[in-house]
Amino acid sequence: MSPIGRYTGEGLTKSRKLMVLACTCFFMGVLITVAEPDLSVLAGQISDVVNPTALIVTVGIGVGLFLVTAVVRIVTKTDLTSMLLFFYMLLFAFAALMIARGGQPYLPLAFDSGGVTTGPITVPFIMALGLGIAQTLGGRNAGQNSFGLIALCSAGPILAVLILSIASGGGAIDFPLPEYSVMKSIGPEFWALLGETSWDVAKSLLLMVMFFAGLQHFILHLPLQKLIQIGFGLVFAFAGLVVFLAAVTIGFMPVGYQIGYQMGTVSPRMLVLFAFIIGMVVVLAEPAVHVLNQQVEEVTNGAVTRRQMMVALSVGVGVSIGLSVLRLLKGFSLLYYLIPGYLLSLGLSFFVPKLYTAIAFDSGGVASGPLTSSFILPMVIGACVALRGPGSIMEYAFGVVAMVAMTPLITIQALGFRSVVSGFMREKSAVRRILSADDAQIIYFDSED
Amino acid sequence: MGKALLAKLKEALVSVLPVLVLVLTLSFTSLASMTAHERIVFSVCALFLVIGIGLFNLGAIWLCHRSEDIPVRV
Repeated sequence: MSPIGRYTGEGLTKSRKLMVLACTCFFMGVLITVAEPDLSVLAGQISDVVNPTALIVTVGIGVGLFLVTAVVRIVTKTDLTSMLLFFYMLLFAFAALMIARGGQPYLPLAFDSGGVTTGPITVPFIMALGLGIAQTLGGRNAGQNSFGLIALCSAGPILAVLILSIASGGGAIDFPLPEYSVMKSIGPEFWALLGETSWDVAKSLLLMVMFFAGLQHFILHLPLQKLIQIGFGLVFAFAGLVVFLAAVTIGFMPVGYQIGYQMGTVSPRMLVLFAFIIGMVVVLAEPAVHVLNQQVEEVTNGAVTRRQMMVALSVGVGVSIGLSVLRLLKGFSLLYYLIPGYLLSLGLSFFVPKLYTAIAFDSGGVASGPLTSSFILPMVIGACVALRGPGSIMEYAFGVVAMVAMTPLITIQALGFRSVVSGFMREKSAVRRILSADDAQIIYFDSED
Repeated sequence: MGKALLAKLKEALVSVLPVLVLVLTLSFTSLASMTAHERIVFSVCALFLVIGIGLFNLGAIWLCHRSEDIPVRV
């Protein structure tokens, strides 16, 4: 996926045809979304209200259009901050319209869908696509320009779901509670799950491989040795993802639900603390996080280290899950988090170096990976069932993915803000040192007219 | 290749271990009780999680870098 992305970006940019690049990216965005396994799960859950095919296609078109926008942005070198500002204002405007039409229960789901769409297959691919295009175009800000694609791609699904729920007229929706129990033995159930997972992963990888094969034939013409390397990478990535997803579904999903349910019954206050701590460690185990951190270190030449990224992500996700459980206890709208959260993260973007903003908005989609949706979400659902009953899952349990996707925007930009402030302080202390220096050291020249 | 895989597995182990320790510790308190069977399944799954993340990241290395700058050759 990644070199495929990188070579695609490079090859298409070299061809100097913006139209070809834009069209390819649009179809790429649609295909990636349709193939992402998480989205079909989400679509199935609300199939009573919204037609699943309509949802997937709408989100696919949303992602496709936003991917084109993001690529055109890199080519035309438009400022990312002003674009993010524009699109997030648009999102909140549509959210207001949706609530006015009685679609309040859809709000958490809509914002969750942004984090859900960017999974472990799409993230490395899209990031590499950006890097390929930006490096081929070159210029002073190539590193900075290579980020920001995931940020814009995450906005697409949110907008798509908001528009769909406005069109469908809202109304109450029930979330069908899945069967959360640990398997008794390795029986047919296990093999069925393994088969299903393999098919899901293979489907999304195959679409990308087919697409790349076409490009290779017509545009890229890479040597065999590179193709072999890509092949090996694909096999390992495929095997890794299948093992990962199967293990998460079998062991982590039921245990997450159980912990949430039991702690919600016994001690809801302790659950807030536990949610904070588990959030801090869970993000370390998201598969795409290492890919992001590596690329960040590479592109910034070590100015932002892996360790700093890890700490910023860890604190961000810990706080976001803690706050989500707190919202569940107190029972207020997700908007009370989203409005100040995005106000802060978009506001910070005016004060921090643009590179930090681009990385931060990309990290949102990366932090909310498969472990969030299959361990953290069931945990919050369990707590919700214990505290408020299964009827309010849509309103209070969902939204946790949106929170996980939002908080890194603040913490990573805070990292940038700190570097700006410390630079400012250094400068100030240097000036002070010069000013307070002994007068004897200063030589005065008398000017004679 | 074996060395690279080992390095990635170690990295993955460090990432997953905190979650495992936290959940298992919690399972022995009165806040959340788990049966022995559940503890074993969870631990085995955590082990597979390590293998999964390790393999995925190794694949991602080959996929992320162009052949001229990969640290390990196939």
